[in-house]
Amino acid sequence: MNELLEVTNLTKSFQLHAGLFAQADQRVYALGGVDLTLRTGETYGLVGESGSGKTTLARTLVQLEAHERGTIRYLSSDGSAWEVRRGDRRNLERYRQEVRYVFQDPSSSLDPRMTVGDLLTIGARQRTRGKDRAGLVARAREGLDHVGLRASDWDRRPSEFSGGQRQRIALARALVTRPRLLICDEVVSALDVSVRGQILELLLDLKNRFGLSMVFIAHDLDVVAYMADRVGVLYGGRMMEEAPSRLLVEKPLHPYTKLLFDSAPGAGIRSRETSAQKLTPTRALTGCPFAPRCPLVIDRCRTEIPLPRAVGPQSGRLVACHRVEAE
Amino acid sequence: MNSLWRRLFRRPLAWGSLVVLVILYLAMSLCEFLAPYDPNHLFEGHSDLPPNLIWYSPQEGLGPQVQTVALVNGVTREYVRVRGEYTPVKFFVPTDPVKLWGVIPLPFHLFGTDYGRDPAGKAQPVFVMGTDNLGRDVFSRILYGSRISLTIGFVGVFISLGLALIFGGLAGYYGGIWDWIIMRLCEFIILIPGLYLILFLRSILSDHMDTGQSYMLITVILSFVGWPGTARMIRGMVHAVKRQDFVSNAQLESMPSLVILFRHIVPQMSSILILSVTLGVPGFILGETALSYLGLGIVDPAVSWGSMINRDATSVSNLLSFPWLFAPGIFLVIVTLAFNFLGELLRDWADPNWKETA
Repeated sequence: MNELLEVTNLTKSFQLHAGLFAQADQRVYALGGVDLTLRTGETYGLVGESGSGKTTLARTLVQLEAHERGTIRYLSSDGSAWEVRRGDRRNLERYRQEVRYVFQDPSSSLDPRMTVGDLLTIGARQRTRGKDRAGLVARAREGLDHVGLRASDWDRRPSEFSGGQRQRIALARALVTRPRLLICDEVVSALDVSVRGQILELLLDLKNRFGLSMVFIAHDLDVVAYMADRVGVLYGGRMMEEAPSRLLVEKPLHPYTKLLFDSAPGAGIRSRETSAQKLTPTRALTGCPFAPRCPLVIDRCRTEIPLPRAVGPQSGRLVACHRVEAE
Repeated sequence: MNSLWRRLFRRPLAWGSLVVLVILYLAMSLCEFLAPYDPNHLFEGHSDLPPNLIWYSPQEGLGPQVQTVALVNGVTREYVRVRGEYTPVKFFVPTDPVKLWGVIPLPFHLFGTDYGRDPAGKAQPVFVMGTDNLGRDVFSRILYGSRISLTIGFVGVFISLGLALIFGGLAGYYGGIWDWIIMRLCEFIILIPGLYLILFLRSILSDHMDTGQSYMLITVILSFVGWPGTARMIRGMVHAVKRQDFVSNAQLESMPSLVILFRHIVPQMSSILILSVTLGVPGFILGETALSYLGLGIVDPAVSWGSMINRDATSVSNLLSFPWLFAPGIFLVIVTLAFNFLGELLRDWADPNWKETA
């Protein structure tokens, strides 16, 4: 078995209103049954508009949010596979060391009152109950070096760094536990365009050096295509299309993927439907979530949820659309 | 830490406040040595005497000394100075035996006169800040009174802020049923009219109590009434902070909840905590003053600044005729201001976004 992470039918919804007067049936369906497999050493890209469920998916993967239905199976470093659940504390703790989540905005994911040294070591210090302090510090300093920061930065606070450097600190922090999988949730979105490239290169470098697998999330298709081996396109909490990134860039099949490419700046407006209408699915879907915006919509799209089907010979390409013909 | 010192020296007000507070607290701890007299010693014929320390006279020349006075009107307490009779103030004079902190016997006080040990019986006692209507030395009483007034703030703030941090923090972090229980408890305590609660507790508990006990009691009562408001504020802030990414990040690193609460969340509120300490200390001093004013605080023979203000400085006629009796009030103002200036510095220091300005 080569699958590091195997996600099946992952479902998550949020209550729209909280409190005494909340209507119980008012829910936001953030994830409506997502399937995803991540092979060891692979980078899996996730794209989609705001509200498509990318971040919810990523947060569910590390169990910051508990999923409602579905399973997440993880192949651990010792060869045993287990199911990731909130209640399973011992395994979850180990899972979270091997699978690290990198937040979008480093200025909020790093405690502004701690020094870099503290930020890197405090988590591990708690876990080891203060044992092997020297080894930990050495590892953290090494991590600082790997992400291209100086040893003298150890005693400085996050506010003294630029955005790109802060994201480097966040990466160094993730590396301290020697992870096998990094979940990067829009790690370059909060950064200056000029710094973006550097951080992406750093991620590739770290991936090669440590043999990391990666789930890379962005709303920018080009960035994802550059980073990822395979890309999944999310819309309305469902996987619309999944394909090797080269294939996806060359020939997007799903109407939504086409729309994403077309609405990228510089692409020119080719499609009639370009405005990013915000979709807030407050009812369980009865059809394709993209149907209201789809230029190719037919009646069947509104009544029957399209399931991902393999399209094309051995391409590993999955498309969830009634209108895309199986070739 | 270095930057704290640097900032300290750049701010004369904060620097001066620190010096003032250090001096006052040193004086407090050494009050047996510094105070020339026992706080309850009654000097007959010296009631309501104005400060009598002078620095020059033709006879004695330059130096601290006291001019003899004679009472001319026992009703209005009018004194006249006696020409040519001066008593020099000496340092390290042996007077009534006292023990430093009740343990170390002191052979002498820092300063004093030969009053009582002078064979001619002419020597006069020295009153740096005058005397009250019973003829007790105000300066000595202020020094002894600071033992209560300067510590009650710290003890009180420590207790009430500790309670507020624990309860507010837990309510904010865990939420749910704990939040509900703790907040209802807070509201219940806030609902009780504070002053009546204090009066009630004090009056059922105060029958046969010595100074130490009633002092502790007052502190505990004041903190017990004071914590719910702060706890609510802290709960709200914890609520806001716990949704930040760095808290999620810490949760992902499997940190125990208490570590997250006290290492990540509470430090975000440090500026407000420092502020509540520095504002709380004078608040407790004033609270003790208020209780003493109602006759439920420190009572004679024990002495605190509050009880002195209550006893001597609460009527206009007293203040007009004997203005030196307001000296403990001035000390109170100085201490309050000093804590505030110092707190301001600490708050800026704790603020991660604060930039040093030249």
